[in-house]
Amino acid sequence: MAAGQPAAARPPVERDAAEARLALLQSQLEPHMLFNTLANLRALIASDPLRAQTMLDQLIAFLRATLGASRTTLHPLADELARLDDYLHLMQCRMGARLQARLDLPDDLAALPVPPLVLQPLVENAIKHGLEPHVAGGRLDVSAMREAGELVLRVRDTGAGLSRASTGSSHFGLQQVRERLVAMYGAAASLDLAAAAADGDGGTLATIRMPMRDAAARPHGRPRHATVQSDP
Amino acid sequence: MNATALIAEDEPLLADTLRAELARAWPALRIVASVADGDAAVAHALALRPDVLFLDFRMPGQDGLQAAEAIAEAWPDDRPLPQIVFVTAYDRYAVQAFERQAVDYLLKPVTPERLARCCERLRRALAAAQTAPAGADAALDALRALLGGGALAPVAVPPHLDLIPVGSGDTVRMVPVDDVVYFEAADKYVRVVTVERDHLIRVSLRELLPQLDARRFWPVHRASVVQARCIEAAHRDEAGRITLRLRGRAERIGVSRLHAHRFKGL
Repeated sequence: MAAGQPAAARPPVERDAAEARLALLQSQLEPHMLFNTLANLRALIASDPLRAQTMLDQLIAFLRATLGASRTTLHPLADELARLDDYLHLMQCRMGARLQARLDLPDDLAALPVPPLVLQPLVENAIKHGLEPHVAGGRLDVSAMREAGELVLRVRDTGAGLSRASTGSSHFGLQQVRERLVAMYGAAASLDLAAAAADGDGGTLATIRMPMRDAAARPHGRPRHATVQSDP
Repeated sequence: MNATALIAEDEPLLADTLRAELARAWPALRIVASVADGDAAVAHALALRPDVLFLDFRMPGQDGLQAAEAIAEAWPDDRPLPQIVFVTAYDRYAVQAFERQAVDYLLKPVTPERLARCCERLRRALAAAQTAPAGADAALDALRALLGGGALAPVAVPPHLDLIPVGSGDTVRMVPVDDVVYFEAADKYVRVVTVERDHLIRVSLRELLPQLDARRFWPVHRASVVQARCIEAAHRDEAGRITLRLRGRAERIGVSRLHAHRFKGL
């Protein structure tokens, strides 16, 4: 009984956000990814110990960031992309030449606060449903830019396309991102998923739009714990 | 003669490691091909006809289960199906299905002890297949059971469909499932064929199948599911291929080797 009380006493919005974070955490530590990564590590320990060490460091950084994500509300965009970089290195080790990834972060956006691992599910989705099922693999571009006073984050792959990406479990990861954005920014933020048809390379484009001003990061007038407090 | 094997694994490091570990666990086993996707697995398995297939469960192109099904369908009748070992990092439902159907599988990372036991079982199974009476193929039976046993989803069965909503333009037509003569896979769509006409629905046959009553709708090929009461006769040609004549439709439907057991005369 006592254990149930604090949760029940919290306002619904905060409880929803906490549950969303927990569910996100569970989807993040995807066993399939973990065991495949461990299998690669096991292989490298014998054949290339130095590479194994690097890969292990990346896995540790990835796990630390994933587990830490439930404790901090915001972190700088540069940190978000650094965690993506760890994850993409792990995936590159597994997929080899089938994965070409590029992260593009303008310097003046690097310190902007964003929810931790807000891009991670989109990147995982692009790999799992876009590039991994695609025999030839493909390209993954993550970019950040300022558009009409908003922060716009894009994850684009040249993989199998939406019909696959929109089926089954991938809904969950995307749903989590949407719920976290709503919990944090209300209607001021959005996540869109569309076929990336413009350049003829196919694949899927995920776009997050969120307010850029620091004040917008504190919805409902409540102060929040944040690793980054100021807007440059 | 030494046994031969094919490795299908899309992650290069893991493919190399499995090959190296197999060389230690079963030195006499000859790896005739190592491929990185499901389509190549099918092509090489059919061309080289190895005794054992190590199939990664999740691969680009066709996944491990689809590849196994395609290989079984095109495998020559006069030879026993290869022994199939599925390799998976973590697929809960698949592993449950492998256990239920006593299908060989390996979990990644593969440990030498587990691989040694797997090789021992394979050697026994290959010896048994050599002496098995004609028509008995344990590997084929296990694969058939696996395909029918929901290896990709929880065993909880979704409710059976009574009506199939078919969208066209701004209208959704409700097609009674009872009117359907057969379903046919067409790329990312399924063709829903009734006596009068056919419709396209945007779903895969694999997703649709669990929602059909298995006593009324029989899979007869990986690309087709037929309503049993619409089957008028099954005809076997000189080469042993079975085709179905249907009530109300002129076209014939081919039956694959995996499903031929349904059409043995009493």
